[in-house]
Amino acid sequence: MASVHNIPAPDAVARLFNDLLGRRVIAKKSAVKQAVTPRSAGAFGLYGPTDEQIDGIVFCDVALACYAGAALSLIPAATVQPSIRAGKMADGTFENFSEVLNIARGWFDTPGQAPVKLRRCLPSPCELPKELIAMLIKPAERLDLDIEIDGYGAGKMLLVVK
Amino acid sequence: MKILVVDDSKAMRMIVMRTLRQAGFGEHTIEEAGNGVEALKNIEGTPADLILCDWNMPEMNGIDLLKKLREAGNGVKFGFVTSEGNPEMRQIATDAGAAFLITKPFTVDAFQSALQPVLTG
Repeated sequence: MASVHNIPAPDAVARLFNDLLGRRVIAKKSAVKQAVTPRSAGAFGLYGPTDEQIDGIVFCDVALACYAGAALSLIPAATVQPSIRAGKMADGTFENFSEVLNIARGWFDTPGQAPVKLRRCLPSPCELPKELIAMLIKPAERLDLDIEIDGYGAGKMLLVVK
Repeated sequence: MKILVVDDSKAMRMIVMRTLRQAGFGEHTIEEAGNGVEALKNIEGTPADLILCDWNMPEMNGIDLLKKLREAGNGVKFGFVTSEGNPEMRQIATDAGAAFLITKPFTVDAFQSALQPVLTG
């Protein structure tokens, strides 16, 4: 069974967004670590070899998740501004963004091992099991990114692995 | 020619169709379906010349759709557009009769390279 233990380089993250959204995307390591909890507004992607074994988490704040979900369907940025202000994604935007998280599973792949899969996709605030909260607090590795989508806006992403 | 795009994500169907146009295949008739069952229904009336299909979908997934088509004697040109593309999956796809497998996220160049020989061959 595959286990998640790769953290992608910022360039790989930017490339995926770039290819998927068809527009220039810049990803840079954040100067400050994000304090992400299940109450943080945005979206979580949970990755692992089985539904029960989650070894990797991607969190995108509500701004990044909304901008990416909108850009994917060429929805104008202004359309998602109310959702960003309210801290809650619209269902359609979340559905679009889920596809980004699904394709992002490739970040965690290790050559020679079975592919890692996206197991769950959750709009947040949400409930997370204790072990996943623990992973957010004390991961084996983490990557905090500032991501800017050309023509839309900027947001933050956190990737952690157990 | 009719190209049928099969994916359970509406956003992804839109991206595939946009990429088809950017890759120079916009003159073809492009239709869409949300899963294998819908795809079979779509081609009942007008057969497709090429099916571009996701792998994981509810109701009927991509590989089951391909196998069903081949069992029925339907030799329609078929390619996968999917988020996973490990060697094992590529082998399964080839054995079942797929012409190519493109992994997401994809580029316009990837579409041109994969589709050009299939559509002109």
